[in-house]
Amino acid sequence: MSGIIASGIARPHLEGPLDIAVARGEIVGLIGPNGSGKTTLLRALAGLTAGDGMIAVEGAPLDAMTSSERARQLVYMPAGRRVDWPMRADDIVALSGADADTVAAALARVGMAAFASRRVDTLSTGERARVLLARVLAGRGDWLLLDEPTANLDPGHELDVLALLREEAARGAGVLASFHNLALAERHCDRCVLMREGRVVADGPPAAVLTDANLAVVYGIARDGGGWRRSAS
Amino acid sequence: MTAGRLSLLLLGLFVPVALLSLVVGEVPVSALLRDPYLARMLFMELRLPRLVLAAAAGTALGISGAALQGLLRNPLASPDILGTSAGAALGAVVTGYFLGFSGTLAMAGGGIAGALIALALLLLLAGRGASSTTLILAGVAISALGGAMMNLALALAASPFAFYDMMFWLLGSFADRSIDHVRIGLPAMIAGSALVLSAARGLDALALGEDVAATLGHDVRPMHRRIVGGSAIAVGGAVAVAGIIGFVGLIVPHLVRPLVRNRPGPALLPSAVAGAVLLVAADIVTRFPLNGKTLPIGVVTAMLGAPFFLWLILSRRGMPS
Repeated sequence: MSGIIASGIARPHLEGPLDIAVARGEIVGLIGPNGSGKTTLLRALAGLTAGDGMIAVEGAPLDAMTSSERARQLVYMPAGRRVDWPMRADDIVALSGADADTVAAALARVGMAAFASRRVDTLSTGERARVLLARVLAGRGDWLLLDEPTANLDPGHELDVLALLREEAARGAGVLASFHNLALAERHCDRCVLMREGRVVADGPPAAVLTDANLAVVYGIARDGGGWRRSAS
Repeated sequence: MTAGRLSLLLLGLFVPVALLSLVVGEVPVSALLRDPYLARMLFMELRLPRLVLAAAAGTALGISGAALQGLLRNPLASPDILGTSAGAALGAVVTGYFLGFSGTLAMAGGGIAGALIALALLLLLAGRGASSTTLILAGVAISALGGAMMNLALALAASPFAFYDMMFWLLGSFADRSIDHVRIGLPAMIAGSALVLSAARGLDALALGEDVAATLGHDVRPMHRRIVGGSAIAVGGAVAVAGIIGFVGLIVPHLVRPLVRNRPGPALLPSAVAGAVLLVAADIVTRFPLNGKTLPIGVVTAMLGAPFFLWLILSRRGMPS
């Protein structure tokens, strides 16, 4: 039993039972419209909510793990970019528990090395998002559960984040991340899980999930050149 | 700066302020030098208990304010604004004047119970993760209700001195406190403060939200219990022996936090020491009669704190709640 395997999950806003699995070395894109249950699913996998179903990490039930065991293995990043106190960027990254060298390296990886001693309230939302991602990288957990890691980022930095997630997958981590940028998910994820109204409606290679039929039903959109248009529904 | 070094620095500031508080008073030092017996009595019976109580109450209010701000992720949280102090005063007054248990121990117990009920009511009203506005509104409501009920209780009390006592409860005082108050109040304030301090570790992670703190291995619920319980014990004990002293719990964390790079966890211990320095200094100011009358300590801390509070509001203008 390798990877995170969740079966029969049911939570408020999730029309369970719902199954999902993430293996080492893969980036799984969690996609679906607003309110389709992506965040609820990520929070359930991070062990933040209790409910029906079984979640196992490499065969070990999540319920039976201590909070420090979970903290070592699972890294969760919410979609919000809020930091409640005007703390320094390096102090934020150090919340991962990493030593000073690892913190500096993580900030360098997200291109924020020069901002290490800056207060986060003086950074732009996108810069703050990268500092928060550095916190995730510095944690060096095996399983990354990321809610919209590319939100608030410009297209260049979006690609940088996907490259970083690929590096994490290459060292053996499993990544489950939600995206709203479907083109990005299609190009860079190994697998996509499509959600709608609290259910998983498709799970497989991006090309098999992001079909014209699925896009029309789930999002109400159709491909239009390089972009999208509202489909007649 | 590290929390330890800042605390030591503040302790270095505390020593001269504490010595000054032992020397300053109505009886001049020259008289004390002439009469060793009088000096001994004065120090042991009056000035030392007064110093110890002021320092302990400052510690309790400073650390409780810092911890409540960190826990509720709200720079306006503090025992007086959230209604904790009013709850403690109401608890002590009801116990002492109505239930007939006017001993210091019973009134301290009443104070702690009142503080705990006020905090529990606040969290119940505002809910966890409440916005600044909701939290402060709930605090103002509890504070107003607690204060009004306490005034009513004192107005109806059978004691002929109850009306005069109102000033003590509303504005606080360290005058004429006995060794008995120290024996009861000090353990409560120390134990409560220590309980609060034990929750310091997870407070920084809470800056990223309860979810992230939990996934970083910091159990949020025990942190909640320690800070709410510890603050109630510390503030309840402080109010029961010294009345409501406003603003210390609000402003001290704001003075300290920037010196520890705005991290709420490391701000706890230095806030405790800074609270002690501030309150002992404020207590010295009360000993200089103005127009022949001494100032209540709550007036001194309010005169320091209210302008600071206004500055805090102005500096937050335009920021999202």
